[in-house]
Amino acid sequence: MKGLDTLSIAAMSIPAELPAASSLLDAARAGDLAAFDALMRQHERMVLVTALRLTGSLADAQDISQDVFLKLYQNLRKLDSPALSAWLYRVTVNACHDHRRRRRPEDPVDTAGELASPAAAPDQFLTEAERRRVLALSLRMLPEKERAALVLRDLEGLSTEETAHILGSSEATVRSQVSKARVKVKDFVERYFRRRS
Amino acid sequence: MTPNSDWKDILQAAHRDPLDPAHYTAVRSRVLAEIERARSPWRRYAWLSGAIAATLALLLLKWDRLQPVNLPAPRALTIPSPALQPVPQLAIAPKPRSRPMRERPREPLTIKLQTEDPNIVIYWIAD
Repeated sequence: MKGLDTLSIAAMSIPAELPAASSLLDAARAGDLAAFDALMRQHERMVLVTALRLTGSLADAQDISQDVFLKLYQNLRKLDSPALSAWLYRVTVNACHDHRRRRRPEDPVDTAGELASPAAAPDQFLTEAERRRVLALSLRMLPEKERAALVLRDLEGLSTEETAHILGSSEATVRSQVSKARVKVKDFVERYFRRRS
Repeated sequence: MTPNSDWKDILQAAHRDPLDPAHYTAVRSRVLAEIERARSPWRRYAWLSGAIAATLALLLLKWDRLQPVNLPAPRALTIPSPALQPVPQLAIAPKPRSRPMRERPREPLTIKLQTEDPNIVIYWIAD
């Protein structure tokens, strides 16, 4: 489990605000839609991908992203540039939680092996599509809070402190949630491969 | 990828997963359309609110003109009157009254018109 802490995940740094973000925010506040569009472009990957990992559905993630950006538009006057990313993450996570509560409970994923492609050879490497599928399924079986902690900490590359701030919990809680989530994902993937072979 | 390292690799590689740019474009388009839709009622009725404002301004202006103008009360000027000099008394003899004229009785105006025929003469008497 410790191995994950030392992973050199270059792309996992928190998205830094571009120098123009502040001026874009000012222009968007003044009613400039082109500036707001540029602001969305800066943060769209962050919002859509986070929502996709938390919901597991592209259509739902797009609906949530739309809601998040509309909330951003409504709250432009209250926000400042340095706090924008954290605010967007928090609103995205909350919107995903709300969305999940509104929907019927998901089917439990008990047996990872049943989900493995029957045509795949045991010694065959994971294809991109299969890798994505395993990740989506492993995230889907996690409890809501553990999933959010793992997505923000390991997939989005935020620090424990940032993750705790976004989720509104303590750093100790986040560490515990991430640790449990990693064990479950590891167990899920190993069972997946055992069934496959 | 081997089974032993797959769970780490899966997490690591997940961050690099590119999404089709069309998915982002779709979200942005929907957001901008929603904002435009929310903005449009104001734009639709902007001319109406402008007309109402102009009418109100005109009414206010007219009402203002109809109001009595409250000018400051005029100051009372005290001009010293020159010292009155005694006027010398003049002895004027009273004018004798003239008699009223007696109207003479008016004679009727008679116009004599001669025609070509010397035997016919027309008298036109104006009363």
